Amino acid sequence: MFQFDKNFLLFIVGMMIALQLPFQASAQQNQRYTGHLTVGPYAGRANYQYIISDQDTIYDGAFQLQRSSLEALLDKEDSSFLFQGGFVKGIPDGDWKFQFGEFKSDSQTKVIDFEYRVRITGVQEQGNGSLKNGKPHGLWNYTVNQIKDSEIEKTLFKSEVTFENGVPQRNFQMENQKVILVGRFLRNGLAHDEWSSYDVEAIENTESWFFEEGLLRKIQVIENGKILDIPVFATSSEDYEVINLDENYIQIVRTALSNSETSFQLKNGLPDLLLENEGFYKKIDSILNRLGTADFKSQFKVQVPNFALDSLETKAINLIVEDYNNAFSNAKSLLQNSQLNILKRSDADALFYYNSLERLSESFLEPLEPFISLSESRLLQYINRSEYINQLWFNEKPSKEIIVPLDSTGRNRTFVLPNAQEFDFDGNTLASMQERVRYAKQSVLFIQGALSQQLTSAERAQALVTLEEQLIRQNETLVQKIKSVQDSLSIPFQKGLSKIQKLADISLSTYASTKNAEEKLTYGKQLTSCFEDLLKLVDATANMPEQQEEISQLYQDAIWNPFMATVMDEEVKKRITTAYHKILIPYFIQELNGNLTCDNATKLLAQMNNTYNQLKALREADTKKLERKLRKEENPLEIMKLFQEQLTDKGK
Amino acid sequence: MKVKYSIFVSLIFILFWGSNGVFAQEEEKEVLPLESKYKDPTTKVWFNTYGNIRIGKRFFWDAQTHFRFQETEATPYIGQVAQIYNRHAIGYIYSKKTNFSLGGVVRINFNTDENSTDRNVVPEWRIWHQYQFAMPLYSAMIYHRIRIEHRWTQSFAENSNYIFRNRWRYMFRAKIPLNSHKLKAKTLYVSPEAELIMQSGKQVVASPMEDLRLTTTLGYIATPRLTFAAGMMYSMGQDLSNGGIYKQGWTMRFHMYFSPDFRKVKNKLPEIHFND
Repeated sequence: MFQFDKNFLLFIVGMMIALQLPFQASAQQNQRYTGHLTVGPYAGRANYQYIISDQDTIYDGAFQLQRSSLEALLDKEDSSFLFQGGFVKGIPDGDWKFQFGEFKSDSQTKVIDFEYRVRITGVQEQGNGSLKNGKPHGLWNYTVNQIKDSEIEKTLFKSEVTFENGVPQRNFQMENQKVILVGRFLRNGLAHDEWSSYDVEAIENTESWFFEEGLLRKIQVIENGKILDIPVFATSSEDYEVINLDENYIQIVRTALSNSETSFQLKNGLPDLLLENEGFYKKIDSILNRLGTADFKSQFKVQVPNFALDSLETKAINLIVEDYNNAFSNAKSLLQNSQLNILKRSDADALFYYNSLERLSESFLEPLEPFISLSESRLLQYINRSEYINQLWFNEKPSKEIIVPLDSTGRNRTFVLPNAQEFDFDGNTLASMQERVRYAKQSVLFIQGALSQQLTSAERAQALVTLEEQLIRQNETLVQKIKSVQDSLSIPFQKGLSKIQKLADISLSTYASTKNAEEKLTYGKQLTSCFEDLLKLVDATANMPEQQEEISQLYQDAIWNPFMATVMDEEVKKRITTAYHKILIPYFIQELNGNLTCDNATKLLAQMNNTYNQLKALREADTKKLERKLRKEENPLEIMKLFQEQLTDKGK
Repeated sequence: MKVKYSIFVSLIFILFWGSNGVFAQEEEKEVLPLESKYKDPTTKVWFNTYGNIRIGKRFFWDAQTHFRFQETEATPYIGQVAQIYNRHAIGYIYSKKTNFSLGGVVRINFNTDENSTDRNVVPEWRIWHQYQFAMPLYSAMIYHRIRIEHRWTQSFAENSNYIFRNRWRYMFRAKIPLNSHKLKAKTLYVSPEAELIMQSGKQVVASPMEDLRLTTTLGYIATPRLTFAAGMMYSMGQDLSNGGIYKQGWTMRFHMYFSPDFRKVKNKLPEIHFND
């Protein structure tokens, strides 16, 4: 009945597909976001395109994030920034620009054409170039300009490096206020040929680094017409490793130079320039990595000789570092010990040990510092260790006998460990180094032991003096406080306060009559905390009448008496207040006047404070049961227990 | 306050105006003595309990029970039971200082006439309403009480009929604390009071002034909910049958005032915050 033409069916199907297409295409289309965005420390206004994939927002297309505030600029100063570029599925790609500005203005505005203009002064950093797959590709410029009145006053830093897929290529150039450096890389990013640096202020002075496929063969310095060649990694080595040209590399170079017999020391100019550049690249890298996947590093590569560490060496080095740290920290704490510093003035032994420690540190520990630092940076494997260890104690080999001048007459006394013969200092090897450090460590421990007796007794004497001063101060405070509150109190309370004062007096005389310094110290320490409690107890006692009044007021309900047509205060929960006024308060006074000691003062204080707080809390609580239980209860401890139970039950 | 005051004034006015009318009628009919005659005063003892039981935020149950004794020849001083008196009402608390009540009284009257051969006990019925206003004055309080009663009484004579009368009562009372600056718990107070009771009705011909009561009471507020008082009252008034004859009396009065509140704590709380 319904017969369709085949062509008609095809037409329908075709139409359906055609109608579907735009929908599918639109699902893939980028969306745009305009608004606030925070990337690490940078918060500003963003405008970017993105796609949603698996519910993740992925940058795709143009991206811009910027911040600048005219208000802040006119007011004080403004930190501005601008990041502008593009992404392909979350990976930075294409031309990028990074700007950072720190500006002030003279707050003078001018209208030119249809714009307000403000002159700014400050510093602007700008890095721009191309990225491919998140890696620098092509020429990258990084410039730091000093701006004055909206014009470039001088260039503080500038670098131009060409990359290919993240690998630096061909020639590069960088300069700062001190040094200009030009050089080149091989296609694999290794430094190659001559890298020349010129002193900005004296252009005829140059320092050139000669690389051979990344390996720094020599440094040539021309200063005032004199040429000086310094070999660095001149001799061939069995093994080489490619590493980044960074801080660690500079340290390796410095160590290598110190090994050589020349007295040449690397100047800071060239390394600083390289590190400065590295810093700017890291800054951009951190931003890009927060946004997507990127690898924005300068990736300058160099080669260094590799002297792999075997397990024995590793073990020896670990021991050296451990002993060094032990000796160093112990020696430092002793040398800074204030007691020892006082004691050495009067005690010849103490002075001798103190000086011995100083000498030990100077001759054993200080020379080791660079070695420890290399070890901590894991750079020892790139150092020719036999040469290095040789020159560590180049000036003076440490001796087991440490000679210390005793006085100005020239008399000396020698410190030597009793078991000194067990240590073998011979040779300049890791093993002998280990022995030396061990000797230093044990010597420090020995001295520490020898001084400890003297130090503890001196410390104890000092501690007693401090303690006594504190006790006297506390007692004075106590006397003053009691005096100031006593007159306003009724007789039972006054008696209680006198009792507290009496306890303080007795305790002080017990302290004074204690002969044994150790016992005296212990007792004195207990007394200080006891006096603290007594002070609080005075407060608590003096406050009691006021608190009683407060509680009485608190346990009043306003009642309308119909016969008098008057609102009257009615006492409520009488059993509770009666227990407080008639049993607990008299109990506290009795305890004060009874056998008050330092031991039970804390407890009594806690009971007094707790009871007061409980009374306040019980006012609002449902206390029907408690009131029933209180009817026959006359034991103050039981009453306090009942109060406590009521409140904790309620807490549940 | 102004409104309350004017209500009070107009009630007083009505009270006196009413009694004047009564006076005018009786002069023609009654044979009065040439001079007014005063009977010897009788002595009485009254034991009164006053309950004021809160039943809501603004309502209370006024429950009074009085035992009144009257001396006879055989029982001097304390006397024998003359009346047992049950007065109940529902009160409405308009404000802290103003309240109104409406209720009934059943009074059991005992025949105290030793020579009488009539019935010994007869009931008396009343409907009453009361308007009470309090005013603070320095440390004291003063009170105006207007009480209007519609009263059905009968004599002790066998088969006697009920007679209907209206009673118009105004009482002025002060309560002056003695050992405190205000009326509060543990306070002793003195309370002078004067009450004029006028009456009207068909039977009332020449004796509109039923009673004038002058009392001084000493009271003690034990708690805001319990007060005790005792006082001495002199009273005089016209004899119903002859307006020229005046009765007199000396009454010792003992009072207990109690005002329990059995409501739950949370309901009690707003009671003092009526209008403030």
